[in-house]
Amino acid sequence: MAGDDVEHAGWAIDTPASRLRRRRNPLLGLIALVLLVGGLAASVVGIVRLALEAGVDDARVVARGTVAPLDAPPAPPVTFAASAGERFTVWLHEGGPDNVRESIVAGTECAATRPDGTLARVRGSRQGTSVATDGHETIGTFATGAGTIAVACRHVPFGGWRNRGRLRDEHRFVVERGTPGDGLAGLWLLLPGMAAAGLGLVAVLRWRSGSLRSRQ
Amino acid sequence: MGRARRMLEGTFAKLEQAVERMNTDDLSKLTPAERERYDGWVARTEAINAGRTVEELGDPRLIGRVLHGPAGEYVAGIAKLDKRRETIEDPPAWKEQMRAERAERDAVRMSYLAAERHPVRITRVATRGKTQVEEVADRLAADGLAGRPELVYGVYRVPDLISAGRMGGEGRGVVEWDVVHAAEQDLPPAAPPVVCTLAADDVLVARRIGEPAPLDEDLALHLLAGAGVGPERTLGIARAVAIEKRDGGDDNSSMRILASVRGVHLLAAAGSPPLAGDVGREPLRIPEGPPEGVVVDVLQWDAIAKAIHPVRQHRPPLPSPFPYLPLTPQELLRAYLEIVGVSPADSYTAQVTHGRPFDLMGRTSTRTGVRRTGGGPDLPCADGKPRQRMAGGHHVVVAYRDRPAYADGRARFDAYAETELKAHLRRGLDLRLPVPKPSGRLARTLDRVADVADFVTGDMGVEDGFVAPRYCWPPQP
Repeated sequence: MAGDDVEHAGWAIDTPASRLRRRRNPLLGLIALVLLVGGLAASVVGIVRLALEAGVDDARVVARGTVAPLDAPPAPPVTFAASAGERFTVWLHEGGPDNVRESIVAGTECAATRPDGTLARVRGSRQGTSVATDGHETIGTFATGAGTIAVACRHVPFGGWRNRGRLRDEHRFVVERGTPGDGLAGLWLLLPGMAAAGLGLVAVLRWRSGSLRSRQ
Repeated sequence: MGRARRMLEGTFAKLEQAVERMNTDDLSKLTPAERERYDGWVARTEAINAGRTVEELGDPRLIGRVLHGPAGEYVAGIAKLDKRRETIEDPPAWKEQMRAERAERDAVRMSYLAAERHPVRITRVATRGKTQVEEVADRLAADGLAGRPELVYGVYRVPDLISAGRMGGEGRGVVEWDVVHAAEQDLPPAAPPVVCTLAADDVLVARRIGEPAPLDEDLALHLLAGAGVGPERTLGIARAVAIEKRDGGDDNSSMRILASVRGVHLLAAAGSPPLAGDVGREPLRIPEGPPEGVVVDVLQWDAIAKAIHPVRQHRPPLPSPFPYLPLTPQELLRAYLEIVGVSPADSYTAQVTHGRPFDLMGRTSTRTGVRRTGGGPDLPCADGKPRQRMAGGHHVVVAYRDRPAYADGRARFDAYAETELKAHLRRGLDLRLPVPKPSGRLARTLDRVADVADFVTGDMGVEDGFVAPRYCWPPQP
């Protein structure tokens, strides 16, 4: 845009007579490349793992049952064998809008009967953090003793009268070995990977602009 | 009845005096540009009262404007361009058209050129923002110009933003510099020049409230004069122009790309005495304007750019709607140097630059109200690599040791500007504005509270409009 008035003469210090030269630190370039490539690769692997592992994994499902609708007779419990100290997660099988699903989850209560006869109550409205996927949302987790465990779920009143209609529908649940966090291991790759890629980008820019050195 | 009438007349007379006093007070508060417009209106009213017709005096919307003629009428909204007008998109054809139009302008300019004039070459080099001054100084030494300052008109940071869409500031970006010189053959390398940089937010000049703030060149010229360095040893006085992006909100609707002057660089030939001297130890008492015998001429460029370069990321459209106007600020700079006949040995500076903070987001789209950071073709840069470019530049500034021949040259340039460019290039400059009164303690506290509120609401970076004068803020008691 400077028309013919201006003669383009290259970089200011890019002449044989320059006293200065721009030096690019190869070590910084290498570190930048490793951070950028490694970070991006880790992020991609993390995303793939999250996509594959997050939520209910059929291989870990130990039982499937039905949640008894509100005001209906109790549904038969599902049973499975467990070893001492193992943790299990109850997932509600339900898709749809988040707000509707959250109300259904909050209106769901499960009871896990341990071999020694003690009960573990799992209430959707009392879990600290719920994990949701496209088709499932957690009701909660519980620990067991060794032996056969029986789990029964039912819908309980939650929210106003007008919002309880969904709780009168029948929903399905699954019991999965482990906690929801077991499926989120990909985050350990994704988050540091993104941080490394960000640092790598900064390092690449720094390497590319280089620093001035006197020509000896 | 007679007594009542006398009382009424007396009251009216007092009222008129009061209105006169208020008008005088109001007029004293006008900036020079506002005063120019006011005087223009007064002159027009007097001319009409004297019997001249409205048709003779022209459209009142051109009062106080830099451009008159067809371009002025277009910029003022009096006339519109033909929307069906076709422009050249193909770069080689564009260049050919540019050269054809330029040849016509050069032919018109011929009759105004100084009989004794010197070559004007503008060499553009690429630097990295963070080390730009060091790199330019090194280039001046490598090209030998640092050893022949009498061949250099000036150096300046090209006020364009290159690759506006890239992340980060200009520190690692490409910043170009122009070296305006008269060397027609290669020179042997020379010693690196003496460089001195002054920060605009330092109180270097003693000014009281109401006294005119110094121009960057005024301060630099007084320092050079104090150091005994004349134009024959000076390589340039370059305003330190910084261009930075400022987010204005979540939707970027008020994002700004501000070009502002952070200080001034002084470059002189090797072996010159220290340029800054005692500056900074205590504020200098320098008179208004440049030292005696030195001319600082500031010309409007952006007013022309509005007419011939409507979208700053694109090439100026060709055929130009106003082919009599220069296409680039460098063409205007060259025209000034060649018409006035300035010798590089007399020149302290020749630069295309900015004055007050200037938002480059203006004129970034053909649509009114639309502001874009991207768009536009990749255009050649000094290093040979094409990149997106936002053309900046508000003023053309030239400072030189005056001679009688130059006074004639300036008269020729004024005639050229008025007749051929149909422009008043020194209008509306608002240079050396009076130093304002600093806000009181209560206002400062409120400002701080507002800053905190802006931080909390995420409106940081939104300016309040106040621009502190450079080198003399806050004023002396």
